[in-house]
Amino acid sequence: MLDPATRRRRTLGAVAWFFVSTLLLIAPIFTTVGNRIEPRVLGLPFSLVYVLGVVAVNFAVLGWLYATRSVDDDGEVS
Amino acid sequence: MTQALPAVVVFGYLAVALALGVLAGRRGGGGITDFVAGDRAFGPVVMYFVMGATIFSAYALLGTPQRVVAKGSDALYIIAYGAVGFVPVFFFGAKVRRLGARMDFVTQAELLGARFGSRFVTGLMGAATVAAFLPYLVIQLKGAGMVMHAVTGWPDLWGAALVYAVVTVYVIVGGVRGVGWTNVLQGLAMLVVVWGLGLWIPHVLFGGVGPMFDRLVAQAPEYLTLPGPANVSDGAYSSEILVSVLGFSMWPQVFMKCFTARSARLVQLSAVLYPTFLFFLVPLLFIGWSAVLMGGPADDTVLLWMLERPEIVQGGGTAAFAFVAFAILAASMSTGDALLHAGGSIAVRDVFMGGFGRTLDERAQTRAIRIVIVVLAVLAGLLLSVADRVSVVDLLLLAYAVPIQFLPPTLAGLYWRRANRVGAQWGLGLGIGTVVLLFVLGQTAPALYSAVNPAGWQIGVIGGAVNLATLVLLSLCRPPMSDEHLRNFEL
Repeated sequence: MLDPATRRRRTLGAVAWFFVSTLLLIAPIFTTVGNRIEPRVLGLPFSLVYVLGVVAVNFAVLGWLYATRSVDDDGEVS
Repeated sequence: MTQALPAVVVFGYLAVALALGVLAGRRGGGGITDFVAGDRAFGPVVMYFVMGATIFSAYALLGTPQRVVAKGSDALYIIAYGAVGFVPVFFFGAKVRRLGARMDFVTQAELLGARFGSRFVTGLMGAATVAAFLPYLVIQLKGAGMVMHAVTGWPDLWGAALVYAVVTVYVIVGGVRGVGWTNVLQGLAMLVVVWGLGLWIPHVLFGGVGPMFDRLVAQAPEYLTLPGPANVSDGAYSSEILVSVLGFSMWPQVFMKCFTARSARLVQLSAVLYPTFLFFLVPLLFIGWSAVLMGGPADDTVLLWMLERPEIVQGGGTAAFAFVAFAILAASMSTGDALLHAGGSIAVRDVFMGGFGRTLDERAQTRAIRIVIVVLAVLAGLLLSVADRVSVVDLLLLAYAVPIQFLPPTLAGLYWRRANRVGAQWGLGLGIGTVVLLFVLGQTAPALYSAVNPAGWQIGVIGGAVNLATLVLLSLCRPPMSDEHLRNFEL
């Protein structure tokens, strides 16, 4: 069980990351970095790979937060 | 025999869905918590498919390829907002599940009404939700009618009526467990069919996904980046994503599934796994880009149009058509059943009991919910029958503006001690009032509407801003609710 200070720090860090990941998906970051055809990855255009990349990273971050019980792990009520 | 295959698959599927839903109704305690929240006992598999399949509607299947043909890579916004839209559930879902079990909530409006000690909040949220569900439901019926017409040649309305008669029966008999069990079947069907087809169609037509993109790069590269063929501006693309993100986790039929999970931690797991469902949209994009190269129509018939291409028909088109019909029905029904179930539950629990303060015993509640479910299904059918005269798409604009109004009171209610009754009541009232006023203005006096909203902002965002500002201001001006009350909400 994580101590409350660590959990609080990780929760705030996670909220900050998801805020940043939203910015990665909209203008101006997406339109300057992601909105291009090259380099193609496995034949797919970069614009698609970029968006799927953000999905994959968010999936990994959520998985890590879940596995380490970093967010809201208060007692269960069944 | 091959010509009969689509009908066999579709009617076979309807029979199985009906049986599964009815069977689900024979399990569980049978009380109101069972009917609305499955006795809070859904396991991981059902939760996964409930969350995923409820969100992916007939519109995702028919509309995603259409959007690629009409607007090119603007269609990526669907994946982009999904990447973050469901994340809030990971943060608040566990708390919502705990509070629900502790204080016996089964709907979102019940939770907020209790937090703010306000019947007005519960009733208004309930009424706005039911109003928002109707056009959304009509879209699902439309998808079902279209598929049944393609399979049987019946008029759209008859097909939609048959499909939704099946849905209504399994929702009424099976309650949320009927919805959950059928969603597992429907979710699996969608994933398998869509992935199979999304890889197979580019393979048959172009020799694979990679070669398809080679041709697009050579012949129509504008479909792979913004602004695309429809010249979508950076601002329009970005605001589509932001607006969808704001409302996504607030749709009540999705939010209330937090109450159905077996544990608080399982709600979090559902949010973790949700992005895997997003990858299901990728093959639909492939189909859309294939349609671009084939010169397909830019409307919602494009998916079925692709299956009529001679190369596809020769390569096994009848079987493909049968399974696409199956998948579209699955998508329509898995969203439609949740809307009917949630709509009935919310109308009775939130509007009638919460808002008007009436009491009903458990049996009477379940009976009333079942009646409302039938009424909603019939109303949606009636709306579909006049859909050529009333623009459902316009009504959807109003519908999408509603869940955004729930975001300020939900987040403030769960995490901000100072948020109080006056702030929530006025915030929600003014927010929803603004949305309705702007919608009516846009429909009846477009010139005046443009003067009021020159930048063309989404009405949901304007309402949400009014709502948030009012909530914060009044909460700061008036005293918070009592410590004892707030402790019940872990504040």
